[in-house]
Amino acid sequence: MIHNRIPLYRAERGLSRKELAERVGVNPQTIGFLERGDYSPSVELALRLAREFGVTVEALFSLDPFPALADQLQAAPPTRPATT
Amino acid sequence: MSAMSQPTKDNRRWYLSLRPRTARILAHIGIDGAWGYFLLKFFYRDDTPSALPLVGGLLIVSAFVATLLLFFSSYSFIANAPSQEIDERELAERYRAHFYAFQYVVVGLIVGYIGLELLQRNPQYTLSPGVVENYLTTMIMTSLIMPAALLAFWDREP
Repeated sequence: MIHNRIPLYRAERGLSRKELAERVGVNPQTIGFLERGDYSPSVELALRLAREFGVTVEALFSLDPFPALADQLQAAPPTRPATT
Repeated sequence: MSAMSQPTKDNRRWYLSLRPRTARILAHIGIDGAWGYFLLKFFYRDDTPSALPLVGGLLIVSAFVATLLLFFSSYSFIANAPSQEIDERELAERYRAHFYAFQYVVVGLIVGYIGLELLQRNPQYTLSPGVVENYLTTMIMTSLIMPAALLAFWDREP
């Protein structure tokens, strides 16, 4: 199974499934299948999706599960506001 | 060069957009109804006083209507449309559906052939052309909608 971050990037960009589907040239149902992991995309579709989000294919798809966002935030060092 | 199937036309809007559950019910009525009609006609004897002929008539009419509705649904569009009009996932599912439909036809023909052979060897049974005709009608009717029915069974509720 291929894991993906399509729902995350789609929510971040404020795109509906239909809008994303139109941009990458598939039917909206296919976006649903991709997001649930029920369908593994072709290389071309994976590249199209990555290009649409402006990220690499590796950032969007992975053979291993992506770490949870909460874990990533906890592991990240706290950011300080910039002082002038 | 683009190898991916990109939908170029939107001809599916001319087809009935059925919910997966509705399409599955129609598929059941169509396929089970057609086979039910065949079995009823096969086992029915004229000396049996019952309403079975009426039941058989209702079965085949409902199966025919359900088959017709499914035949004009978006699942049938995916099963039969030109490759350019569906996307890569639909194309992959269609290949899978046609493969299983092909297996269904092959098994149906083998079972039919063996059944005919066995019936012909039975001296107590006279095989009529009507039985063969009914069997072929059932096979054709169910085979025609099998890919669309399989696509409906595999689909998920939105």
